[in-house]
Amino acid sequence: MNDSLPALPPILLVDDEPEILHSLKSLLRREFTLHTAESGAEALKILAEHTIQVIMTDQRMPEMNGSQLLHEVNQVSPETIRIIFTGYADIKAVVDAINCGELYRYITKPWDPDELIDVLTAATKEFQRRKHQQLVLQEASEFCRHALGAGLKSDLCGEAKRLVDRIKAMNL
Amino acid sequence: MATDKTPTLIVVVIIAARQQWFVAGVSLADAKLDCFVKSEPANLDDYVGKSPDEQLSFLRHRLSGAMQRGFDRLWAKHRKAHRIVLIADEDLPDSAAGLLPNLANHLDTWMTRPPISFFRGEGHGQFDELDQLSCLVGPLNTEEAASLQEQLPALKAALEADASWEVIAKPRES
Repeated sequence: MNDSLPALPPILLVDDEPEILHSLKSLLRREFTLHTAESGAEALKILAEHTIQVIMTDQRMPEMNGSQLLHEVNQVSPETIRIIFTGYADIKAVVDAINCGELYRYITKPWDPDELIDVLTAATKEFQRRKHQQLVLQEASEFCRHALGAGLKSDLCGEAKRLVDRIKAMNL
Repeated sequence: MATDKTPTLIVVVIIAARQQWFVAGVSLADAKLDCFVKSEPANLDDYVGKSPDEQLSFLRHRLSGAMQRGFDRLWAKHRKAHRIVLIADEDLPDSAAGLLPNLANHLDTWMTRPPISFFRGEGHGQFDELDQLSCLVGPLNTEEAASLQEQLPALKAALEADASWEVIAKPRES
């Protein structure tokens, strides 16, 4: 995976209604690198082939609904920020989506286009913040391992070991 | 949220007997009317025969698509949705008792920004006068009511002018 970030953040939009995807593409094409899918299966295929910073999916789709898709995304690409939207708003769907997908946002249709752009922009920044944090922690972990290998004073060695253990526990 | 965009009412008219919707914009600055999109007749007929909850869910879904088109058209014109106003000229045929008030309350609960208003008329496509409509949720303030009232007769007349509207086909169901 190439960790350098592209000029326009790549996001994935998923909806079984092509017209909604068409509308979203018109709205978002200047701000993001857009990938689109009309089903959960197609979305997972795209995720396997590209680094996707944010996925935004409709809840109500045949075969695999949005909650199920985001549950899968959480397994295969946990760093991707997950957003669900729906024209149906009920408590069960909200709870299901939050619990299954560990969501960043739950958006009800209709949305204000300006606010949607703001939400997606904030989501890509959150992805980049987490990615940066991950890189810093990996570097710190590497440094500690090298330092231990080079033989630190015993008190610093214990401190470095504890730091390495804490970083390992973060499941980077 | 501060914006330099012109605040505008998104007006969704539902002609119950035809099970058809229309989406227009009424600018608060100058009460200008813009006709945006309309469905074909029978666009809303899928609620018939469903349980009350399913009827509500279907209409919420279908009308959210209509409202979204209003947002999108306003955005392209560099205007901002200030409030959504739904006007049903009467209760939908063969619908569950209390469907429109329940739908209005549902939208009012879930759609917090911008606020929503829902009016219902007495039928036969009559909604020229706001005073003749029952406000189910979201009463308008003086400025909003004046702008809307100024354009209601023109909006009603425009419903029959095919060239004023982009027609949206009925979506396939998932």
